This record gives sequence, structure tokens and C-alpha cells, in this order.
Amino acid sequence: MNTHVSGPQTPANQAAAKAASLTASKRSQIFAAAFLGLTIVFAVGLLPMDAAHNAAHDTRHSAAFPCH
Amino acid sequence: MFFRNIVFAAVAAGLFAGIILGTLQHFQVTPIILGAELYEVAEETTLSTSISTSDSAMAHDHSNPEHHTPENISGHFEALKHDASTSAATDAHIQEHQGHSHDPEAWSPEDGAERTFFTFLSTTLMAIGFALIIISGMSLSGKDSIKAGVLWGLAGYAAFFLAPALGLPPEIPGMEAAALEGRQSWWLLAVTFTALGLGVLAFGKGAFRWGGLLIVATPQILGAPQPEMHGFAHPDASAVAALEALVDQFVMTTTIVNGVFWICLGLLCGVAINTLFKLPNEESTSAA
Repeated sequence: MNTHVSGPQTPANQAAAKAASLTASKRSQIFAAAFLGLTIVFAVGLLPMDAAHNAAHDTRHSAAFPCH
Repeated sequence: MFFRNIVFAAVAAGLFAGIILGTLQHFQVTPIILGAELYEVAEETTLSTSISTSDSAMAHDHSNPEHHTPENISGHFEALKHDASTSAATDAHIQEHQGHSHDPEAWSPEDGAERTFFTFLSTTLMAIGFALIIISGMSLSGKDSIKAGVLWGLAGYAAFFLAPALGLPPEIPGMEAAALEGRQSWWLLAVTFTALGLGVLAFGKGAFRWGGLLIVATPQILGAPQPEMHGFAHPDASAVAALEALVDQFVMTTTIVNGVFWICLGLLCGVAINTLFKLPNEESTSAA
């Protein structure tokens, strides 16, 4: 049983490798989602462009983002 | 698959929470902002009157947007500076506006339905952004119960509202404030350190976790940039009293409204990833 697991091409090993790569992929997906969230929050709250400021004006004031 | 579920759950939770926040804001917060803006307009009129008396050759029609081109505005300030009767308070006001002036011709939503629409749009977008951060944090930590969602919501309230508001209390239009860039930098510092400190407190090992308290305290110890003059530069004392009453009301209302919003958002995030958009777990992915 042990020799099977340590062998380079056993199904068990392949499954383990697949699980490990999925976990890494999962982590990068989580970070991508978090990054997307931060981008949206900063766009609504801090973007200095006048049109963005004016559109989100009341929201910026009420969420205590620095405004004006 | 994983990314898609996080995004779908965040959009669902953010839509509901954003509409809740937009509604609370529309009925509780926006009226205070509009009330303060009445005085902001009155203040500009007072300033323009003092310019007119000092420089009657210049036409001052503030209702015409073209009147406030950057050149004209600097002309205003020059005229005001040369006015011997200009008070120190007005000087402070000029400095603030010279440091940061908005292009008066830039697009802005019309008061009324359009402004309300954009308020709802921005609260919903912001809620979706916050929900993405909450759900990412929940799935990274591996604790994604509904209770964990509420705790994440409370942590978000502390990091994104309470900590920055301790140094920079929520402001109504017309308030004297330090330069915007400095305040935005401190805001980012406060949010980042509070989030990091709470993370260390919640997930740190052993005695090390108590270091989180020090991280949370750091931005408060450093202190937020403060204006040279507190309060309002409004020349009328009764207007200043009215504005100060509005500020107190504004700070209290936003503290409650944002608290309700973050608890709802955390709860909805927890519900979304435990029901409709359940994240695929380790066993099912490795078995697939």
C-alpha cells in the first residue's frame, strides 16, 4: 500500500496532486474575488474623478469616506 | 467554479444589503446632508456678496455654471484676498477651496430621482464590494457558517466604519477639514491596520494574537490629519449652531445605519454561501 502511494504514477498520487493543485487554484480564486471587492469599494469610496465623486457623494458622506 | 460561487453569493448578498442601506440612507441620512447643503449655498451667497461689495465691477451670477470656471474662481479668491475686511474664517475657507476644488462643469446627478438612483446604485455597488471581501475571508479561513458571517460583518463595521470614524468623524457638507489626500491616506491606514489587527486577534496563535490590539491601536495613536480650524466657516452664528446640531445628528445616524447595514450584510453573506451558492468543499473537489 505504501509503495503504491510513493510511486510516481499511481492513481492515489495523481488524486493527491490534483487535490493540492485545486487548493492552490482555490486560493488564487479567493484572492481574485477579494481583489475585485477592494477595487469596487475604492472606486465607489475614493476615486477622485469628479463624476464618480458626484454620483457617490451621499454614499461617501454616510459611509464616512473622506469627502470634499 | 469557486470564483463564480463567491461572486454570485456576493452579488446576491450585496444587492439585498445595498437596497437596505440605500433605503435607510434615503430616509435617515440624505435629509441631513440636504439640510447642510442649504447652508453651504447660503455660505457661497454670503461670500459672493462680500466680493460684490469689494469689487462691484465684476458680475457675480452664481446660478450660471460657466461663471465658476477655474480662472473665474481664482479671480474670486484674489478679489477676496484683497478685501481688507475679509475675516480669518473666510481666509481658511479660501485655502480649503483652493487646495481642492471640483470642476463645476463636471457631470453630477440632478437633485431628486436621479440623485436618489445614483445613491442606491453606489450603496449597492459598495455592498457588493464589501460582500466579496467578507465571503473571500470566510472561505479563506474555512469558517463559513451564518454565525461566522455575522462576525465578519461586525469586523467589517469596525474596520471600515468605526476605526476611521474615530479619527475622522462622518462629516456633512460645508465642514472644515484637512486636505483630502492626507485624510484619504489616513483612512486607508486605519482600515488596513484595523482589518489586519482584527485578523491577528481572531486567527493568531497563542499569546501572539494579542499583538493584534497594538496593530488596531496604531492608526489611532498616530492620529488623523486635523483641520487648522474646527467647525464651520459660516459667518452667521445661528447657522453655525444649526450646522453643529446637524453634525451631531449625522454622526449618530450614520453610526446606527452603518451598524445595521454591516450586520445585515454579514448575515446575508453567511446565508448566501450556505444555501443558494454553497461553496464546493474539499471532499467533493478531491473526489471529482
